[in-house]
Amino acid sequence: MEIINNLSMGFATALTLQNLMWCMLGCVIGTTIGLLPGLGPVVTISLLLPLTYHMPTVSAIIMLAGIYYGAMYGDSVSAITMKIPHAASIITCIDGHQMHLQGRTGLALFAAGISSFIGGTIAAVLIGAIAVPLGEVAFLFGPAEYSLLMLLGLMCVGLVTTGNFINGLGIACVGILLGMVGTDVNSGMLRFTAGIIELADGIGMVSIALGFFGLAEIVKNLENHKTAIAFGGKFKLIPSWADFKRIIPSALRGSAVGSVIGLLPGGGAVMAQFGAYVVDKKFSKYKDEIGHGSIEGVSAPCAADEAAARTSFIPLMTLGIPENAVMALMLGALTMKGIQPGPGMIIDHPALFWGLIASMWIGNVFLLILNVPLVRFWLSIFKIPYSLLFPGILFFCCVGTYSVNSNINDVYIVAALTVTGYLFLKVGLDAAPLLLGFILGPMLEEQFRRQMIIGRGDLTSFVHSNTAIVLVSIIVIVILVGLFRLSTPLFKNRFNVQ
Amino acid sequence: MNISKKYAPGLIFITVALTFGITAAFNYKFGTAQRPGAALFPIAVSVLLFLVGLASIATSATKELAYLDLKALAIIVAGLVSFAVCTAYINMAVGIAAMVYVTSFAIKEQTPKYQNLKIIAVLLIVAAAFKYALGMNLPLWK
Repeated sequence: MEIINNLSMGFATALTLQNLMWCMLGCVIGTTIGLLPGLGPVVTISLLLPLTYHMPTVSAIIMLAGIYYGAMYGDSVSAITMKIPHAASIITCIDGHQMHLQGRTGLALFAAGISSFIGGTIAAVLIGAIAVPLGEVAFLFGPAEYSLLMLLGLMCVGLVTTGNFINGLGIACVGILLGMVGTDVNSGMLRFTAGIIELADGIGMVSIALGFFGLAEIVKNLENHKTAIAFGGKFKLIPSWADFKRIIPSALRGSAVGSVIGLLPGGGAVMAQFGAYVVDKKFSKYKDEIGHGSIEGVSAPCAADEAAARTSFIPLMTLGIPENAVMALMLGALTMKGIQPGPGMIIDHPALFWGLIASMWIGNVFLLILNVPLVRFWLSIFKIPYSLLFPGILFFCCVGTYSVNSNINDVYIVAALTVTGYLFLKVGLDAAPLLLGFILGPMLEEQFRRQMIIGRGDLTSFVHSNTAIVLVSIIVIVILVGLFRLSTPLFKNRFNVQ
Repeated sequence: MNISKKYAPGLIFITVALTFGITAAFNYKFGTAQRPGAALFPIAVSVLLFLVGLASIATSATKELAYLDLKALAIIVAGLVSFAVCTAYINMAVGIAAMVYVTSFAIKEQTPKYQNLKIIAVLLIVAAAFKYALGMNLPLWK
């Protein structure tokens, strides 16, 4: 009964005209960037982050989430018609593009659209059902548990990062140190500001996101960007009943696999697609056809990545642990709005949480309309040249950065961070852990120092409760998994797909 | 410019660790275990980062070189800086125009005549919409 009450509150929030508009805008932007080469959800969310500063919190999160899962939809369209997967649809590409070559483009696009819809809907139901019990964990947390939880979040970098565990840990430490620039909350002392008074409030989250994700990636794109040629052929979208019957079971299997993988740290959309593909290859009635242009090869991965994109919100919203770069940016967006995701968030901000869940359903319907009947329109987007797109992106960066604090010096900080971000990107250092360290580091320090005062300097006071012992055990397991990954080529190769 | 992917991450970590660690050690109080000071946590993280830097160099097996496109990077940074300087001393409209003009040098493809002017016009309309419709505080005309 409680879930119905919560959901009705969520729908009341999400169905306001304003939030509907932001949800739709997020879906449109998401689909567009999913289609366009060179811009993924991470880059786009980091670019739009400053603009959300002026929006109400719920609307901002609804729009950013729409961009994320909208990009998954758009990506499958470009993967099928042009064999250009950008965000996640590497697996969809295999069968989807085969179907396109066999003249079954319409069927592949329909299967992708409807499967994504099924995957997204099932995952949204799952979030509604399991988030409340997970949220109640909040009552078990004091400063010691919070410190350990944040340490766990930082340790998860080894799993979040696309590079190796050691570099992931290193870059998270760089993030922690950057997070300490500014005023020390415990002593009121200015730290690492190099005498620059503008840094007294610390480096802005927006500057970090733009420098390390947005602009660094743009510079990389400028090195060698190719203009894609749009698909202009004709196709029939509505499938036969026999084909439709093949989509459903495969989409359901994909949704189940994707929902579970989305919950795990490091289990992004690529892993979800891969998992669903493997499961279908084993259990589908048409398993022999998979890999040669079968409907199952499209619908299972599409349902899985859409489901994973949604369930990956659960660790963020309930524990405050972002499991990939997009979730790290979402964490940043929430922190910027003064909301601390983690135990207690669902209880403290129910309208935000349930509004987001409800908006996922609404977004799903928008995306179905956008991507199935209107897919022809989207394919024409490829005709936009990069020379037009690029000044627009920079404009959003500049104006957005300035508008957060009405301070032009922030633009100089972004310029400096872009140089650093580009260097990191080129030497293979993934910036997602840096963002994680930047956000969690200062909180970890605060909770750690608080617990040291409470425990009178005794480090064993950190493991005074069962919750703390469980957290310490998980931290040990994560470290062991990270070290195992270092020594196992299979795990190293796993992330090369991304 | 090419740089080694084997050594670069480790060297970056060591440089950052030394910069933050030394600054913290000489300028802030370490405190006691009962009352940790402002230096304790940064120094602990810097030491960890230093060790991670050494481990990164020791364990990395790659022989790859990373190519840095300094021209593209310089153009983007110059675009941002020109926007900031013009906005600070003249107004944001000039800043936007300067940014579009400077960054157009990064585009390798052939562009139609007067494209920069058209882009500037569109961006100014968008900026005006931000200012007047969304109420953002932009010094568009000062």
